[in-house]
Amino acid sequence: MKINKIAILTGATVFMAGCATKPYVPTVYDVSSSQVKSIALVDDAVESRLAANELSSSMGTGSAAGGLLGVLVVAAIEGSETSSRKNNLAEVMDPIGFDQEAVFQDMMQKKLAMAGYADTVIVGGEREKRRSLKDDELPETTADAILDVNITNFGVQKAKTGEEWRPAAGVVVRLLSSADKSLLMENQISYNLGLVGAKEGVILLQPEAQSIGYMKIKEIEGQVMADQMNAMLDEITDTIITLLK
Amino acid sequence: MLVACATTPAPLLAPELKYAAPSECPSSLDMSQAVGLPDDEKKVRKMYRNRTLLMTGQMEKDSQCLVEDGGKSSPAIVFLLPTDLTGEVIYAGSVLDPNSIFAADVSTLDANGNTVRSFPRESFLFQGTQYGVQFRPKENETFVLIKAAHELIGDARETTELSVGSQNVSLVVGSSYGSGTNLVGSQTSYQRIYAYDGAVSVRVVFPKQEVAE
Repeated sequence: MKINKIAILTGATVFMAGCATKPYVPTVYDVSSSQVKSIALVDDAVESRLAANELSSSMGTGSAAGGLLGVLVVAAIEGSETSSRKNNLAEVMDPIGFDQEAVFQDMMQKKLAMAGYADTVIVGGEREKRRSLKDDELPETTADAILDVNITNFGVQKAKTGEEWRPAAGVVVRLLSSADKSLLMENQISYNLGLVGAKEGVILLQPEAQSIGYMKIKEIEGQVMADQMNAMLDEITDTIITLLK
Repeated sequence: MLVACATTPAPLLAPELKYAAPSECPSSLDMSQAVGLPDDEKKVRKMYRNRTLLMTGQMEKDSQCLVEDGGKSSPAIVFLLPTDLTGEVIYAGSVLDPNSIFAADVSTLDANGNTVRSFPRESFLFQGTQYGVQFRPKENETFVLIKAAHELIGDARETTELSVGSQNVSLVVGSSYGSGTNLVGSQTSYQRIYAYDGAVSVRVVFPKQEVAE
């Protein structure tokens, strides 16, 4: 009867996600009343293991659709395929030395400088958990504010078998005052995530019409994939700057 | 079930790329005509309970219009912001249609109808089902004015969007019966044209209020 239990649990999860009644309220940055002139960027923003998700899921494909589980049918086959997809993606990207964290930090530092902020330093170390930092985990800095960006599900995604791969990521961006740890800004960005995008208030970014391709991940050229991920990071960092203006 | 809360799809609109004012347009709108919360008290109470106040309008050929500085006329609408909230965030702009987007230009006005803030194009975001701006209202901001951004008209935004629906499935496994939900992803391409017509909305979300409503 184990199967029944799972069915009930996941059924409830899906239902709640569909009709959440309490709204998501972002914290909108008020630049006119802000004294922030320098920003420290928290290290380890981007999830290091690249994601390769398919939105369609049934029981066993837990990583698809941001953790929402479906139930039954093609379970075993799809489950093993998902974890091997991630390994395949790593195999494609490792040889070309793609480092999403370095790309992100470089873009962020340059764009913050162009937006008029003083030299941005990188603070903190590796995150223990893939989430926004708690107040007592915020690193010490002499900068006026701390920019804590958490990018999850960074990688590629497709709707279902037979559709094209496109880059995808989910972002939570927060700006906190380093003096009193008060929250100055919080927004969420969904880059082609599909599911998260259903939530009102989440900023939706969409990839260009061009896709990475239909083929198996193993057969995609690393540089093609890297170009699309760079384009994604470019749009995400542009949006973060927009939110700080 | 995921799609259960989606609004009923509206009939497809042909994006209107030209605008001819229905009459001679005034240079400022009558603020007493501002769109506020609906009259239905029950509906409003429910909105407060769900901490989301929604005001909507439709930009059409015979909507109110406004003459701007350059002498050009534009369809226009004003919304009245609620004054009884703290910590609220306002989203103001156009509601996405499958093939068009009202080319929204958003500004805030004070109680006398004078402009307080005009939002620059780069602050516009696609958020949920809306194309517009997010802001925290200042004390003197009483109204939101939405009118057409002429420079956007005719531009297209092409996207390929992913979405997830669900499918109920059941299966008999030996002597026990299991049922559940499969998630089904789908990919749809859109070409949305910025136009002079379409739905606009002001959505106010707010955190739990200190004082009972």
